[in-house]
Amino acid sequence: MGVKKGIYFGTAFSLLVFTMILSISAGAVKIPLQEILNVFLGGGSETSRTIILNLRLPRAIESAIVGMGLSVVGTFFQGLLRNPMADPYVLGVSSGAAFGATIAIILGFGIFGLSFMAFITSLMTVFFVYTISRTGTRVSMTTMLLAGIAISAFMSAIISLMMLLNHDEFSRIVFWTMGGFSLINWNSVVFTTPIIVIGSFVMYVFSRDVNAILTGEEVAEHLGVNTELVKKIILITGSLVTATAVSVGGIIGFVGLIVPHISRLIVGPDNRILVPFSAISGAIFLTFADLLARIILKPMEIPIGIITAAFGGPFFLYLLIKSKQKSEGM
Amino acid sequence: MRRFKGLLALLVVFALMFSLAACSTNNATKPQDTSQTATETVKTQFPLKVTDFLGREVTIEKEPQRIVSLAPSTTELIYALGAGNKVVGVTDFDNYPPEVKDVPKVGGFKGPNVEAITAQKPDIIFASTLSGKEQMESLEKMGIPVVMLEAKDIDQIYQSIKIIGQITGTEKKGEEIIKEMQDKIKEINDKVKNLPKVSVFYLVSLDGNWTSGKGTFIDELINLAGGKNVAEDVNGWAQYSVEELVKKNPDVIITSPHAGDVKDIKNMAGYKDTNAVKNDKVFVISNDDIISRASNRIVLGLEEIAKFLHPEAFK
Repeated sequence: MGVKKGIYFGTAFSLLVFTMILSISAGAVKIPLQEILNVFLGGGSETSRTIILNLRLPRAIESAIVGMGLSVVGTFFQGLLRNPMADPYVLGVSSGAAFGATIAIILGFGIFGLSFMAFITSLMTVFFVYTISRTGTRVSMTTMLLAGIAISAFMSAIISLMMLLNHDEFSRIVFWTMGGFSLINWNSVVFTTPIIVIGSFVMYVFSRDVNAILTGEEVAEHLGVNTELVKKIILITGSLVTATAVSVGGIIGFVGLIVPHISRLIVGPDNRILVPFSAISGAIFLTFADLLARIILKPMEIPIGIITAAFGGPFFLYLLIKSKQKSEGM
Repeated sequence: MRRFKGLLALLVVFALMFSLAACSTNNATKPQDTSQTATETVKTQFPLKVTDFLGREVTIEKEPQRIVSLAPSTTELIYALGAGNKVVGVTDFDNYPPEVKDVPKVGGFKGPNVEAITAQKPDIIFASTLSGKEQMESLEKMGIPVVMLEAKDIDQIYQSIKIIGQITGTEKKGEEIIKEMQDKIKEINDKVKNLPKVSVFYLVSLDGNWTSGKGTFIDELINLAGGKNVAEDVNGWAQYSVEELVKKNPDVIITSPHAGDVKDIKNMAGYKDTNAVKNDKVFVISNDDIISRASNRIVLGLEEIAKFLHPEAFK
């Protein structure tokens, strides 16, 4: 058991390192391995230095961090909301972010203002959803899920209306919502990494408590778990992590939905193991997806959401069928 | 049925002969027209058959008095040709010439409103691919001729001008406009064609680094203005790799007022290292419409770009 998990983690970690190296060495512009090594040793031409150090490296790190964050949030939300379809965006984070971004674009804000605005409005949306779902000190998860869906639909309608009334900014709004990491620079890495890493770690601390909640809230409370406090912490931290991810990468669907499931199929449902495994798998998945987005149709880039859905969906179905066959065979 | 087909074929033959005859008379009368100063323009013969950009032959029974235009570029051309007073419906996007503000709007960005169009009782509809196939078919079923115009390059703008001119009886004015455009293009191109080519990146939107590749008006304008589009290796509108941009290292970056903040562009990773930013050669076009619409105003866009690329030639 312990050995098996060790092998899984060892493999996943090696795969992550490999994907990161691949992501730094491959791209639209072909740079020989020797030149890449030169760059890391402080040499290389100015062009290769810019491409490797200022474009590829921050992008590889950012996609890994965002993939990790979204997967961890997805893992916890699926458990807490008791809904296998729950993903980090389910509470209205993404539509809230898109709403803020749309306003920022219409008001003519720059990149920083836009990210900041997306971040703030997504948090406000979740706070709103949270407030309606709360009665006294208890938070109804079902109400949250439904409120999240309702607010998403409402926000999307408002966004469409704003697009309709602001033709000139139409394309920029559409382009923003497609998501992707083409705008990543070191500043965004420095801004997002601490929030996502610390946020994920905070959630991880409560893995055991969430395990208990999964078996039933009453049982958990019997075991001395303050379920309401745990729910609050996970919801708030998860929303913060998601909002941070959205503010730099736009809306990247599917990662937070399928990576936790795939990980659960591999290492089982114990959050103490599942969460770190999901974190690594999410990082691999999104880094690889970003690499594909950059090279498939080079020098054109494609929105990363297309990659995550096109590759993640079928793979997920394959795993589902396989696990079904396995359980039928037994 | 067979008889009907035969009749149809006969009709087509007649129509062809008729249009050929019309063409030859046109040619014959042309020289006379130039000599006689006060002559009316050649009256178009109705019913008129035109071939639109989808290659369909559209029959227009009588000279249209009520026109609905479903593309801002077409509207601009109709006004330029002097038939603007017949326009009774345009899209929400139409903003030029200023008079168009008072024309009823018949649709938004997701295809026009068929009811609003019919309410205007048009004799003809000028559509584009964005107009929606189903909507246009339903209008045609009501007996309203739909002519599809979709110029992808400057030569096709001339073709649009010819088609609209023919239908609105303003062929002469159309010829003048085409001549003016050609003269202007030649004038600008003559100034820059022997100068060293300047490499250019056109930034449509900073969000996702969108650019205009081959097959766009912007690509054509950059070439005519004595430049080389670094993104000519992609087709149409595309998200361009910033890596590739760094490698191509453009001398000039042109953006639109809606692309994002110029300050951001100058500080962005990748962009920062291009010659364009280093030498402070990032320009914002005054108006996207003059470089992206298939209208005669495109020569203004050409002039602006040429001045960005070769200021020395326009002193």
